Amino acid sequence: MASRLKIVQREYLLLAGLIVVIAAFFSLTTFAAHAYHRKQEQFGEGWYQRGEQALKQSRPADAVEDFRNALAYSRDNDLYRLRLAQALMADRRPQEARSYLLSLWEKQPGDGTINLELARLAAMWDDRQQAVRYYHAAIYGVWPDEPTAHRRQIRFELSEYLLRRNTIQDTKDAQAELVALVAELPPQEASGQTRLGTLLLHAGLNARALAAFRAALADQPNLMPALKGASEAAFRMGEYQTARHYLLPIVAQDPKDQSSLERLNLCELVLKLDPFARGLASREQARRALRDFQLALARAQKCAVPVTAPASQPASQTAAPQGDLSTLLAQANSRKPKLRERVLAGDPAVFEITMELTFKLEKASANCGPASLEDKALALLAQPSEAAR
Amino acid sequence: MSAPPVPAAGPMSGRRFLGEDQLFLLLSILIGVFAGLAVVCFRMSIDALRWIFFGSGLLPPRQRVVLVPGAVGLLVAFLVVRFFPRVRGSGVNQTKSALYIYDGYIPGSTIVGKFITSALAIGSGQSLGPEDPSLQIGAGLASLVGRRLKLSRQNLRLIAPVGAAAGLAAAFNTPIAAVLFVIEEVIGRWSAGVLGAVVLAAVSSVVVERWFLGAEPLFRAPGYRLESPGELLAYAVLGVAGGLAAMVFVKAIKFLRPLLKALPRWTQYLLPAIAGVLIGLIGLRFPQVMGAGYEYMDQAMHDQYTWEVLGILAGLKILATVLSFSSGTPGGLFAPTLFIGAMVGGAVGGVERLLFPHFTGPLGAYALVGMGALFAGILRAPMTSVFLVLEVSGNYAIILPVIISNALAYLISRSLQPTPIFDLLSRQDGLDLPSLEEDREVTLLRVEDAMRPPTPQVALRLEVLPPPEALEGLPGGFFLVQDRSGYWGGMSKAKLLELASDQASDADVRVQQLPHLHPDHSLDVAMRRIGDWPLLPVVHRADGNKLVGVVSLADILEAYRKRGPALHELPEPAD
Repeated sequence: MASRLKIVQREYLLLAGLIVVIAAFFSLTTFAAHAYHRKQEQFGEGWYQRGEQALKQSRPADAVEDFRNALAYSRDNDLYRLRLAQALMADRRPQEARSYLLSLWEKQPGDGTINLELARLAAMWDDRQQAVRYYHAAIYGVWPDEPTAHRRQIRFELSEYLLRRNTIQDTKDAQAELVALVAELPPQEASGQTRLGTLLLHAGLNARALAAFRAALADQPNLMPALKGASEAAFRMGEYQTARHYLLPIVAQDPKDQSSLERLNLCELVLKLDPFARGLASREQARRALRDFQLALARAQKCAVPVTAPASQPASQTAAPQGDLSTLLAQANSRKPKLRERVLAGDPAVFEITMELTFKLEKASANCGPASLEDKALALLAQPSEAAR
Repeated sequence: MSAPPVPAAGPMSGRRFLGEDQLFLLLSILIGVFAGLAVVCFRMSIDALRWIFFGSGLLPPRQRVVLVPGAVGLLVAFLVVRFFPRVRGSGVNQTKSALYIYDGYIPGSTIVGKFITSALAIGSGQSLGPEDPSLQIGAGLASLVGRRLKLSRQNLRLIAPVGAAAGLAAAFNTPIAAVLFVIEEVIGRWSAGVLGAVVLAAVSSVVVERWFLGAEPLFRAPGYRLESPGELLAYAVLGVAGGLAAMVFVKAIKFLRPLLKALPRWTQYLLPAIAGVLIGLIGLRFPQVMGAGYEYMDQAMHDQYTWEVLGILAGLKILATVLSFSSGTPGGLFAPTLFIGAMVGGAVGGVERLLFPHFTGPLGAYALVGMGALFAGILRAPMTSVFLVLEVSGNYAIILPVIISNALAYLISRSLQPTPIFDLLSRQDGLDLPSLEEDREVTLLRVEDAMRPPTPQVALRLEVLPPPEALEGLPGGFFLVQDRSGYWGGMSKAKLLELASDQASDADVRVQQLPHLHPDHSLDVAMRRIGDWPLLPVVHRADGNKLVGVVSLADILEAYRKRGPALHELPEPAD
């Protein structure tokens, strides 16, 4: 019994001794590990700061090496990994960057920044499917700060990418993104609204573009890009009065802006030639209709007699299709002697027929050499307005 | 290595408060913790030495690249030759030696020596890895603890591999691969007791390692996806390339190591330094080959090198590792193997991307699969190689290419270099350690290889016994007899004659119970069962009354004689 007790005691003692040794070793290792990790953090942070500095100084190649060093001390540091990927992208090494981004993405598939960088890479390689996928993941992804602002920015970027591709499907998809942006963007953000308006214009959503520019101008009335955008949107919509409204301050601010000046003159001429403008007396309507008719006829007659064009000028610009034009000219010449302001004012049917013939003449001579400002205005009048469309 | 003092059954091997088996399992956990702590310290020491020698940047200062490995090589050589002669090599064979030759004995000085010299060598840029030394340190600690606790000889033998599994698991942060490696390469057999102890030790060491160094896998490879089923062919090509690279590596060590070992003893002071200088010269242009190189493996997985650079790095790493290892510098082969694999894999992936850009997945996957292929090809532990890749990457989706590639690399390496590297090294050192790979390949002799058909001369039925005069004429004095219930037993000739002449009582009609065999039983089982019986019945597994053969001791011995010795059992030609 005594010997068994002795054995048990010895067994306990030996095990206890072993546990004490392990505990002591554990404490020692804890102490050493603290020092080790402190040193590692120090090195990692030092290299990271150097990398940031290098990036700021536009030395991406150095930044890549620095971030690599930083990453060696903190393999799981996603920030270091992300910055390394961004430095690689800045150093034009997208393939290498992609690999790091993908490993980050594996770990955080919902992270906004990572998805955005991957989307940019895919966009760079024009991998539409992946680009749209990553852009959307970025839009709906996690952003640690200012998530709404980030999402808006990415929608802008995605829309720009799609519009750059310039296909019907891409334009449609871009329109959807832009419509979402219209709802998301606060009206008082003048620069954002201007950017949105520009993209909407690009996507062919003129009315929404005009609204965006108006919102921008409500915040900053003299914002030149917004004024120009608004005038363009209104002009495309056939809202010449509105276009003129926005063109006037542009020209006032910058009288040397020839294109705006020309556009303003054109708008004013359209407004002056338009027989359908609201509130006109029938006499004035008739006067404008007659003038439009005469202008169209003169251009058509000029067009019907082919001029000797320079060799470089395409034939389509020197003569209209003779068949149509000749018929129209014959009709117009037969009508011309009977047309008087009084007749036009008194008979709405004659007025309608005359304007119809005028527009046909103008369209038929559209490709007939350089048009005068009045002809341009008349051609614009001949187009159905967006509202009418 | 002189024979160490082997404890006989000590005071703790007899009656005790805890049974030996329970104590063994408890010790496995403690050894796991102990080994885990040692490995954590070992890895921190290597890093600390690297910072001291080369600074904190990945790219070492040029002036130190040649100087440091040379100078530290001199110091390491001095320590090894003068104080720790047993720490040469990787540590795997030394652990096997402890198990098979020295009854689990690994001296304490070996643990200290391995720790110091390997840390110095790897920290100074020798192209070696810390895993095999970790394995030996773990085994050494386990042996030390086992001796202090006066375990029985049997358990003392097994405790070293348990510590080895703990050390390896902590070094790689891969418990499954460590358990498999130790079972596959060191112990060579599965049994519940050993497996339980090895698993407990591996798990506890990994817990400790993760506690101190973090739980993330060794590598974070970018996402793998199979671009098309045809891409598996590309991984097959990688397996072939891996097998060839493994063959080159093993053959180079096979050639150079004996040459350097044959040099005069004084050269041992210089060889690690010379290897260090040569590696430093390579490092001037390609510093990636210096040290274990985990950072560069990570970079290879992240597409940071062109396929040409990857190919060059693979070749240079083979050269550098052969130089370091053959010079007798202590350090492991695992990390270099993975490095070479990552570079070969990346290079193959890069070429395939060049040729078939739309059918090639991420390069990281190729680098990862390449690691497994080289591991299977060089270290010849195919199961371990599969699980190692899964564990170091934490990516289980890649298993299909890994299996294909590893299997091919293993088969090619086996056919071109039949002797596995650890067996080669042990034979070069004059040790006859069991080759577990070769043991796996030995054809098992079964009862069906030895049994004879059950002719009426040896197998009789009680119901239709021949007349006494016919029985008299049968050779032998013992027969298999089937009783009325169909059971096959035995009966002597005398008893049978009594029965045949109707002189036997009812009690005599009973046949003697015999152990039965089945045709698929191994001859080892047959040997154990046959005892002193002249014959044993071989019966059908589905019908115990159906006799399919008979077997005697002479039949068994004849079967062994016919098979002859296996190839690896013949004397090995000298290198």
